[in-house]
Amino acid sequence: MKSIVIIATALACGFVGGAAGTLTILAREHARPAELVRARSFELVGERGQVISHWGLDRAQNAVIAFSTRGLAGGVVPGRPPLDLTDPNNQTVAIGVLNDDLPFLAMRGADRKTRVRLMLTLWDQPSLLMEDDTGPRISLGIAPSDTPGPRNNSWSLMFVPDVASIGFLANTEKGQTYVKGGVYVRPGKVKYP
Amino acid sequence: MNSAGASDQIVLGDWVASSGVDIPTIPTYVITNADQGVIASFIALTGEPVIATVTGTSVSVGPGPSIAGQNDAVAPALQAEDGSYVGTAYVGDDRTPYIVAFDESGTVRWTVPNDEPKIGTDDGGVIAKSGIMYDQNGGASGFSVAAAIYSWTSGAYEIGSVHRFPSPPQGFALGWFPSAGDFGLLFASHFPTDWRANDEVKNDILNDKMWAKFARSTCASILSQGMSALAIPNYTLTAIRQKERQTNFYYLGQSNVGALTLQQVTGYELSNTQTITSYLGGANAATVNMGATKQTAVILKAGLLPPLSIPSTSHPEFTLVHELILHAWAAQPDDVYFNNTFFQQKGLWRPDAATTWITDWLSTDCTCTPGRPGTTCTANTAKW
Repeated sequence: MKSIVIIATALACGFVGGAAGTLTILAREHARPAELVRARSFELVGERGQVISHWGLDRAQNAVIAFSTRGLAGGVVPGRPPLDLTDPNNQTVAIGVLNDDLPFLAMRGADRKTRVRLMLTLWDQPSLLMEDDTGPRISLGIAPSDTPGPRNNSWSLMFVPDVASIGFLANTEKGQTYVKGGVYVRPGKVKYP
Repeated sequence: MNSAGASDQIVLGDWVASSGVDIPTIPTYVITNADQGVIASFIALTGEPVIATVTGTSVSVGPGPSIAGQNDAVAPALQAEDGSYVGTAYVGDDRTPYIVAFDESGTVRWTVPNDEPKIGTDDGGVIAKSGIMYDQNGGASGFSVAAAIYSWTSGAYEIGSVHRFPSPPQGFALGWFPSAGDFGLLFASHFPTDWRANDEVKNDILNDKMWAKFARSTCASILSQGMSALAIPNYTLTAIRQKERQTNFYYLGQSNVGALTLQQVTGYELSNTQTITSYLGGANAATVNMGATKQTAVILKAGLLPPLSIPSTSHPEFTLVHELILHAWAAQPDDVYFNNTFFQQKGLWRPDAATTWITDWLSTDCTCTPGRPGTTCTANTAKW
């Protein structure tokens, strides 16, 4: 009888020790951050579950980190769809790369129209556009061209419609590219768009 | 035939006919399959409908669409955006026409009797010859302009009238082959085109009336002399209009147009996979793949084209002529014109990096550049 008690006690101690060891190892594993987490997208939500940030592809197939707190005011209302931050028009601020791998930053106003766009062109030339609700008002960086390309090397600060600008024009003569500075102010007035 | 002019013979099937009879002919209906190749629909000598899918020079053969009582193979007329097809079958002794929608495996999705397909819509449906609009399930979803016939440039015409009228805001499919029997698609059957933009530019803005006025303008004369000064040969308005017909216009005010790639809009002559939205950047318009013999595309920013039913107050004709003549046809960047002494003598002036100064100059009938100190000319005053 005594030997049975000893054996049972030994088995019990062994089980408890094993369980304790396993728990210790698991606890250590949990404490160590994962080296790789994979997901299609991440969402940051407010206290009541409202989506305030989306990290992933949006509907335009842009890879973005986008923010908007517009959905916070009403909270999550049954029957009303939450603010969809995969819709680019709902992204108050978005930073990322466009679907053709051009990096960009965009800011939108309360009317969901873009007010600031910062991006690289297809030829890695930076461009900053500032807009109001009717369209671009200031363009800074590589000058927009209707035949864009890597040889478009004219840079400027332009006020739209074309009323004032400062910058330089690039011209190629006999294989050599020259730049020439200039300041332009349109005489008179033009109708605001 | 490939783009180099070389041709291949492709065998769709082999059958044995009874001895002593003439070798039968097999009516075969062929339509493009997006940019992949073609499909051929026919009835084999064994009596079964067949679809042969031809990709390059390889062929895969499978069962074709079949409906009860059909006299002949279903003749595919257009391809929807999801890759399925809509065609016509004739049924019974009286050859009643049926619209037949079927997928690439030949499975019939739906049929509608007494009608024929005319043009695809962007919801996967179709506008029929009767004017009835069918949704992607074959249900009648509305009525298009009564008895309208959509021309090959997709303008709408009333039967019995030569008067063109603005077609209603139906969402035409960004089509690979979205319209039945459209000869204009010879230019564009293997890549997507923007029907609305092509229609508005070619029929409403740069139309016969505009070119007739332009032919008598100062600008026509100056551009002709200027092309000679630049040693660019063969400048004629006939050549320009030919280029206009071959050029496709893409309007970024239309949903899903901006996601098209440079590769697609140039008919795969360019390999760039960047979007036309990125190509346009902050410009009003941009021309891709310039040159009289190239498959050129002109990208237009949102807001440049007025709604069809509203007369233009923004004068897009000057931007369009700029893109079409100076870039699409002559294949020269703006710098070439700005730097040329002849054009400078004719009033072209560039104070800054913007290229819209050429458009402004054109809009004065090529007489002066508005905004130039010492001049009083006004933009948008040319009468063409």
